Amino acid sequence: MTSTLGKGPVLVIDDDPAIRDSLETLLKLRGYTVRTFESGQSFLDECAQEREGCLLVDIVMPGMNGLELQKRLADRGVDIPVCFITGHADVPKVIQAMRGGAVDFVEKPYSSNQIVESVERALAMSLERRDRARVAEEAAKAVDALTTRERQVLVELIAGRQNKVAAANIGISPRTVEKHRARIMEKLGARSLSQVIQIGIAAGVTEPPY
Amino acid sequence: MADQDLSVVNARLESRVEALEAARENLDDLLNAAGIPILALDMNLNIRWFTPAIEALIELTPSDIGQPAAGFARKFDDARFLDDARAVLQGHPPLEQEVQGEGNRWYMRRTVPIHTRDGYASGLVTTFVDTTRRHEAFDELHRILEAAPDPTVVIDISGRIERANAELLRVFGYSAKELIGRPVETLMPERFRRKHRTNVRGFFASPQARPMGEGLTLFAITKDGREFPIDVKLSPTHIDEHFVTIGAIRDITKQKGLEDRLHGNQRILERRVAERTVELQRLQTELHRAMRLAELGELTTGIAHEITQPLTAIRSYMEACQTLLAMDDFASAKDLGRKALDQARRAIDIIQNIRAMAVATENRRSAQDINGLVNDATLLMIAGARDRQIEMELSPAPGLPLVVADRVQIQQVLLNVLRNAIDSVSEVSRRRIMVETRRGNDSMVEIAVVDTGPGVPAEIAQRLFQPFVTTKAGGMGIGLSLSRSIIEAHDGRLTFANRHSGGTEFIIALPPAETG
Ligand SMILES: Nc1ncnc2c1ncn2[C@@H]1O[C@H](COP(=O)(O)OP(=O)(O)O)[C@@H](O)[C@H]1O
Ligand SMILES: [Mg+2]
Repeated sequence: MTSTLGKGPVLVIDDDPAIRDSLETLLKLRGYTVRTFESGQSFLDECAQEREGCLLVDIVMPGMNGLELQKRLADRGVDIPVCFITGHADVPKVIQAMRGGAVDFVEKPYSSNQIVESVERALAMSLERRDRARVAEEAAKAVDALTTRERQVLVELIAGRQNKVAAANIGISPRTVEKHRARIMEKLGARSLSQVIQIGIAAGVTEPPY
Repeated sequence: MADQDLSVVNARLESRVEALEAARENLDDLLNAAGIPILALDMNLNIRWFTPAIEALIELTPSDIGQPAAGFARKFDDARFLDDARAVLQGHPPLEQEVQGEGNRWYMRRTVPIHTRDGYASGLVTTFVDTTRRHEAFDELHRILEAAPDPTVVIDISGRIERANAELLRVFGYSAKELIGRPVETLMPERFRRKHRTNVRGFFASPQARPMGEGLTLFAITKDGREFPIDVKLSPTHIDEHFVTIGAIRDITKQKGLEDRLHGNQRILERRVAERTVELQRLQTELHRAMRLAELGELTTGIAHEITQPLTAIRSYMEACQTLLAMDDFASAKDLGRKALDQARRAIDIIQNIRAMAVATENRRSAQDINGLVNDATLLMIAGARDRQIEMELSPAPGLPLVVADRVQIQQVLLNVLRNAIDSVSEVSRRRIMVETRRGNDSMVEIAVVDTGPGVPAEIAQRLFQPFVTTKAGGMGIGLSLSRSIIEAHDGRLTFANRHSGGTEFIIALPPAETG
């Protein structure tokens, strides 16, 4: 069988051995790295800290069902996209799963393409989340380098206030505001005011309560 | 010759007179011994003879014979004594009078004429029979009657009123004279009279104290035609050899009203209960239908889920298979083909189980030899069991009665139980399954399947026979639920027990076919 060292990993959790085996077969053939688990508990025991890839979970299982697993992961702060396999459209369960942030639902008997589409979506989300996390981390680092006064000015800029208003708010002259703005752009490596604002937002800068 | 003849006649006459004398003396002795006061008078009411016992009533000595009876002082109160005597002498039939003597004694005075051979009266005999005891008894009766709070009558053996107390006369509005001697039916409304007369006859045939007309409402009618409901208590009794029945009549107008209201209320209550019962039954049927529908829905959902599992796997395997074939990876494709086929078998198993469930409603029963049935069913499993290193043993009891059963269904049950037993022993190293047939304590025919597996997990022991209860990955959980329905439809029982020695025993118990 072909085994590409590739996309994923896709973590399959289902109590039915035939479903586990057939999913593993088809996903591996499509170039994914696959790991299977027979219950939510065995997944938690073996790789509770897994953040890479995505989960493909049967919503109905004896013992811990898919929804309970989703909740346990959220409780532990594990942010990994979850894709549910459902036996038949079970509306209340689907709603609950969506509230819990489920990426997708695949209804049995699914086709290989349906599974692959959902897995792709989940993995893309996984990557996007990771990118976003990295950007936020870098922005936060850059913002940390600003002085207190510069940060006050950044808040005013994000709030979209004119120099005069900002100066009055902070209690400095408009010219000083102008000077700080140039320094901020330099420190954050931004080439425009809009870039400054994006970085500030990514870093989570908000208006402090005066 | 004539003299001789005469002396013969004379002699004969004399001997006749002697004989008569003797007879008379005998009669005297007899009368004296009886101790009954008797007085005989001639046509002129002169004393002819008397018994010594007469002295309790009239003072007479033998020298008084021939004297007029009217001249002697009588020690009893009897105004009609001489008048009755004269009447009888003039052809009147015997006359009776109850008379009171000294010391509160009572006599029945009877005056009877004596006739000559040619039918003329020649005198009379008066007897006095002591009736004191009877009189006392009637006095007692009278006191009882008058003390009774209810109208009360004394009825003689022919159903005639002999006495009535003052209360009865007051309530019914009759005088004693109007009522005494009349049939007791006089006190009843016309429409009950005929029936009552028959009943009275029945009553005297087996006299017993009892309430009259048990279970019916009786009615009485007064002289002026007013009817009212009554309750009658009859007590048969002897009064000095005289058989009578005392009837106490109670006016139950008031009770009757209460009773009617009570009856009315009861009827209303009964009707309400009946209405509620119908309502409840309707609700129950609806509930049952709803439950059946819910069960059906659950069942359909469960079946859909069960079938979907292998179907999904088959689809995945076959799509993967196509990819592999396109890549000319025939070995891997073949492997997936086999896996898909396994899943197809799984689906077929499920379908067969469901079909058996549908069949459970049809009736294809006949007398079955349980040992033959068990033998056939286990044959199907033995090969599979051997593959898994399971030792299977059969222990059939001889001489078991037949059971009336659907052979296919019972085999289906046995296969389910055996499959479970195989699953259970597969988890342990000592793998033995014994199938035993036997006669149960309650004469049921039993098939016991004993395994050496880990036993039924405590957490599902209570729910084992419910549908979709399973501890097996990929288990369907309908085997036992279905099996129990089948066995119960056969009036049998499917039970299990964990064995002390480890392992589990499932018992299929079926009633024996009725002999004859
Ligand atoms: N012989 C046995 N020993 C232990 N457990 C048993 C045995 N038979 C049945 N069980 C238990 O009862 C459950 C229900 O059985 P069943 O209704 O046949 O469904 P299934 O076999 O699909 O699980 C099984 O999952 C198992 O836990
Ligand atoms: Mg079973």
